[in-house]
Amino acid sequence: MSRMLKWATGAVVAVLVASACGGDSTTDTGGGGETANQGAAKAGGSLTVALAEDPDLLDPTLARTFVGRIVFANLCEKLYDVNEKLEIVPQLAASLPKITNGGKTVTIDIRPGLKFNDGTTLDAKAVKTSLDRHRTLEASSRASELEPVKSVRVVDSDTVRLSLDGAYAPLTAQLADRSGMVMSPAQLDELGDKFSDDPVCVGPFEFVRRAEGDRIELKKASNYYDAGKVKLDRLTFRIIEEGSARSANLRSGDVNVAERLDPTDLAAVRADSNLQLVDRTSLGYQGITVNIGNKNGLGEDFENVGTPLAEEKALRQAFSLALDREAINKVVFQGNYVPGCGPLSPVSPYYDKSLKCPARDLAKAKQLVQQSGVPTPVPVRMMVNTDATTLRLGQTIQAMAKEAGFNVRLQPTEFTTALDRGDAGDYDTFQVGWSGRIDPDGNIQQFVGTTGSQNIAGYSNDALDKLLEEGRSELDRAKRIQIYQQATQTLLDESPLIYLYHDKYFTGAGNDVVGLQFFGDGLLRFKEAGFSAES
Amino acid sequence: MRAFLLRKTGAALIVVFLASIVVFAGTRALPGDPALVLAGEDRTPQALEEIRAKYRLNDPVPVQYASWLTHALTGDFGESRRAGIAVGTTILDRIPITLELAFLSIIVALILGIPAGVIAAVKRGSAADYASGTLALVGLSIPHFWLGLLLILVFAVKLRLLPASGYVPFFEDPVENLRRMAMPALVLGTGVSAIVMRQMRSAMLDSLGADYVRTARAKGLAERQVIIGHAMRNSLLTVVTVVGLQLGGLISGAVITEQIFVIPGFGRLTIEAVNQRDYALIQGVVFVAAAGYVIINLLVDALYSVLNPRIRVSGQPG
Repeated sequence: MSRMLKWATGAVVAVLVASACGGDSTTDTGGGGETANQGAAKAGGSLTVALAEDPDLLDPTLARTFVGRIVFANLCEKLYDVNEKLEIVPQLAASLPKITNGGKTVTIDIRPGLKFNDGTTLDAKAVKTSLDRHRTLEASSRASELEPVKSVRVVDSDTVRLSLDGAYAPLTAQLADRSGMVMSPAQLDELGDKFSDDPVCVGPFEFVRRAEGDRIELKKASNYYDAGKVKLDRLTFRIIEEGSARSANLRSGDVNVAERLDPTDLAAVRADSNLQLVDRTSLGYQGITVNIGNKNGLGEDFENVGTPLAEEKALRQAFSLALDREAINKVVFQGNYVPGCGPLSPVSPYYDKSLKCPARDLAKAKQLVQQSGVPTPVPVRMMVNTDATTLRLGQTIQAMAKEAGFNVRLQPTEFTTALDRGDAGDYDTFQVGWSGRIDPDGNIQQFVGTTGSQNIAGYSNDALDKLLEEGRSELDRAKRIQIYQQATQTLLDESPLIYLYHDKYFTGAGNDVVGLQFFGDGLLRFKEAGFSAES
Repeated sequence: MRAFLLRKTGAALIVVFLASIVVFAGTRALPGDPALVLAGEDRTPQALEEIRAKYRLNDPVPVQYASWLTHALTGDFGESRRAGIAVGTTILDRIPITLELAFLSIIVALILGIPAGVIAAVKRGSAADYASGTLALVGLSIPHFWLGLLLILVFAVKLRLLPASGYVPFFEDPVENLRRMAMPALVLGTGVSAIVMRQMRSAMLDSLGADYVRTARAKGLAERQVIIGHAMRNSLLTVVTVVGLQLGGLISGAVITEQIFVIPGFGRLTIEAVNQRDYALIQGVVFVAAAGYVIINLLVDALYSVLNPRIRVSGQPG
C-alpha cells in the first residue's frame, strides 16, 4: 500500500513538472498519470528494461508491433502524444491541429528550432517527407491510417497543411502514434528502406545498436530540444520472452524495469520490498468473437454460417447473460483485471461512465435458450489460445455456459494458426482481444463494421455502420461520446462480439527507479526517468 | 583411402541436399500464415497481400525452393523478416555461444560424473553407490526449465551471487562470461553427468574384474594406483565416446536452457524463428543444424578410418 502511495505522489510531482514546462494547464492526476518513486533523479546511469517480445523493424513507416512502440516512445517523437489522462497533446507540433473547411483542411504548426538526433533540422519539409513516406511507401503499415489524407503541403518552414476528402476525427490520434513520427530526411536518403538499421528521429535517446532477439541499446541524445530533462546516459532494452524469467531478472536486479509481468508472477514482485509494481488498465478489450457470416473467408461475401449462435441473436444474448464477468476475473485472473462488456476501456476518454454491464442472469438466459426452440444442449465450439491462463478462462466459460444449456467444446489452438482460421472463417467462436487505440473508432469499426478490415465475425448492421460513419466525421467530442455510447448499446444487444474484460499492463521496477512515465497506452516513457538521488 | 573419403563426402552432400528439401517442405507445412504474424495487429487484407507479394509467399513452393537454393549455395540465406537482418550473420553470431555452452556443460558433466561413477563402482553396493545412483536418476529426470528457475531463485534472487541471465562474449570479459554461463552450464551438464556417471560405473566394474587389474594388484601396486592408473584410465575411453554422442542432445537441450537464461544462442534463435513463422530464418537454422550433423558424422567416419583400417575396406565392392 505504501509503495502504491509513493507511486501516486511521484505522479503528482511529475505532472506538476510537466505542466510547468509544457504549457499544459492540467494538474489533475485522476486519470492516473504515473511515474516511478518520488524524489529527484540524479543525472547519469544506465537503465535496463526487460521487454516481453522482440520488436519488429525500427522503422515508423513499416513497424507493426506493440512492443516496438515502447522503443519508439523513447527514440522517435511524434507530432502529438498523449498525456496521463490519455488526452492528445502536442509533442513535435507547437499546438493541437487547426481543423477548418468542414474538417477537410488540417493545419499543423511545428515547434521551431527542432533538431534531429543527427543534428539536421526538423522543419515542415521534413514533416512532409515523413508523412508522404507513411502514406505512399510500398508495404507501409501506415497507409491505411492516413488513407483520408489526400495531400500534404508545406506552408512555411514551421507549418504543414493536410487536405482531406472529408472530416476524419481519428486523424489526430493517428498522428499521436507511429503515423505522426518524423524521421530524419538525411538518414532516409542514406538508408532508404534500411532505415531500421540505424533509425534517426527526434527523441530523448538515440539509437546505438541492436542485436536481433537479444537487445536494443540507446544513449542520451545530444541534439534533443529538451535534453535538460533527460537523466539517463544509456537505456537498454533486453528481450526476455519467458514471463517467469522476466520477473526473476527483475528480482535479481539484472534488469531495472520489466514490462508486462505475468499475473502469476505478481505476488512475488509485490512481496519484494526492493521492488515497486504499478498497473495500468489497457485501452483494449478481451472477448469472444462469434462467427456469424464469415463463411467464405475475410474479404469475401457474407453468408450465415448456420450455427445456433450465428442464427439466433437471442442465443448470443443468453450466452452473454450466462457469464459472470466478476467471477471470471476473480477465478481466472485473481481479480487483477477489469470486467467489462463493451469495446471501450474505462480509461478511454470516450468511455460511457453510465454503462452498466448486465449481471449474470441464469433464469433469463435459460428462458432465451428455451424460447429459441433450439434443442439443448446448444453446441458451441470455442477456439482458445494454448496457454494455461486462457485455457482456464475457457474452462470457466464452459462451466458457466453449461448451466444455461450450452455445451461448449474448447479448441485450444496455437495463436498464429488461430488467426489463420479466424480469417478463413474456420471457427464458431474465438476468444481473442485487441490492444486498443486512443481513438474509439480504432476499437470498433475494423472489427464489427461491415467493411472492417478485421471483421472476422462477418457481421453486418446498417444502423451500426451509419453510427460509426458519423463517429468518424463528427469533430465535437461530446457528440462523439454519445455516438459511441449508442454503438456500445447496439453491440451489447446484438453481441456479435461478447466482450469480457479489459486487461492490465503490469510494470515492475526497482525502488531506485524514479521519473518513469507509464500511462494507459501501456508504453514506457523514460525521458525523465533515472535513478534516485538518495541511493 | 581417397576413394573412401570421396564416397563418404558424396553421400554426405546428397544427405544435405535431401535435408534441405525436407526442411523447406516442413517449413511450408507449418500451420499459420507467416503474413499474419508479420502483419501484427494491423492485419488489413491489403497489408497481408503486400507482405505476401514482397516475400513471394504466393509463388508455388518449388519455385520458392529453387530461388532459396540458388541463394543458399552462395551463402545467402536471406533476411529475417522481422528485423530485416541477414540470416547468415545471425546464425554465425549465435553458433559460438551455443557451442561454448555445450562445451562448458560437458566439463560440468565430467567433473560431476566421473568421480561419482568411480566411487560408485569401487564401493559397489555401499550407501555411496546407492546415493550416486539416486542422484543420477534425479539428474536425468529433472526438467531443465525447473532446475533453471530454481537456480535463478537461489543464486540470483536470494543470494545475489550470479547474474540471472544474459550473455557477455568471452573475449570481452572472460570472468563475466563464465559467471553468466555457470548456471546454464550446470543445468545442461546435470543431465549429461548422470549418463557419464552410469557409463563410468559400468565401465569401471568391467575393468575392475578384468585380468590386467588382477595382474596389477598381484604386482603389489597400491589400490589407489590400480584404480586411477589402470581401471579408470581404460574406462575413460567409453565415457569419451558417450560424451561425443551427447553433443546433439546438448544442442537440443540448449533450446530450453537458453530461453530461461536469456542466452542469445542457436537454440533460442530456433524458437524465435518458429514462433514468428520466419521461413528464411527457420530454413537457415534447421539447414545449418542438419549440415552440422552430417559434417560431424563425416569427420567421425574419416577419423575412424584413420584409426581402424578395416573400416576403409569393408563395404567396398568385390
